[in-house]
Amino acid sequence: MAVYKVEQIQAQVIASTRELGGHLSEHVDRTRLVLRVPAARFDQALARIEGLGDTTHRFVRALDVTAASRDLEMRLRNAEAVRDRLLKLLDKAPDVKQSLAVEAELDRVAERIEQMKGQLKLMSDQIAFSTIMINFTVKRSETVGSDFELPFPWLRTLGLQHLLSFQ
Amino acid sequence: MIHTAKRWAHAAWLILSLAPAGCASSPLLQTPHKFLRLEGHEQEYDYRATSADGIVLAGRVLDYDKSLGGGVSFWVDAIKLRLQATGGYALLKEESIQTTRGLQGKQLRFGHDEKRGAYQYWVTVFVSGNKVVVLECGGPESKLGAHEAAIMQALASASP
Repeated sequence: MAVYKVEQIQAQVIASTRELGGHLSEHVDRTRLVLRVPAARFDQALARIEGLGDTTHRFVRALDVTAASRDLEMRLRNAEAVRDRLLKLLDKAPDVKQSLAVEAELDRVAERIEQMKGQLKLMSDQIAFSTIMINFTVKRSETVGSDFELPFPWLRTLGLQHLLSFQ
Repeated sequence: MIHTAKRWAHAAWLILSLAPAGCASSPLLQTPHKFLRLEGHEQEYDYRATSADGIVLAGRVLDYDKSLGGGVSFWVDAIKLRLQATGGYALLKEESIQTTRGLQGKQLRFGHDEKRGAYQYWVTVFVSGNKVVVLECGGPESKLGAHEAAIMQALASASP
């Protein structure tokens, strides 16, 4: 996105995102903003953002996390069932040695359950919110580099740098 | 006889001293009010003038073979590509423009953030016969507004 008055535009982008129920996830100086917006309002957010500047490149990618989420939920249910069985075993443990062994296994399963719950929470956030990353072209090199270049050298001398220089 | 020769000498001096001033008038643009035309160091421009507060107006006339195609829209696209894609300029406005002699063209107004604040850069393109006329104007946005009317009047006077 090539914009004019970058700070002002960035503030408008952030305000607009918040209005739509989203939030700012990352802000790198004047060059990049990463926003999270409710998935249902993704198109609306994109249209608003594009209205604030001059979009030079646009790339939209959708990630389907449904299968991964279903798999994780199943593993979580299994782990919880194992935990319940271990709790029953703990109640029936005949001596301290066996109790300690069951407790150690219980700790390991509980830790796995917490990890999976965390992953599921992250996934549900991924499903509920879409990520919009905006790279701001504040001031790029005046050299054309590997981009397409027309065979008219005078085009390279366009711009404020040449116009305002008297040397 | 000596008196007549002196009179001729005075006349010749007068003519010679007026000649550079006559040449200084621009064939491309009328210099806007409150601007000074620059001469002597203009390698890339056929015309350049500046205001005291930092607004610069410049123009160039480029030859091209009209029979090969092109036209205003081609040059407008080429300028946009150059400034937006590789220069980081944001297109603020695009509109048609006409000179007092009826030449049709396009004006592109870009914005660009500089260290000292917001700047604007306007590029106006006309195609006249086998010539492309590119007129540029730029400077701090805070100063440009006061000169806009005079600049637009100068642009309308373009005559390649």
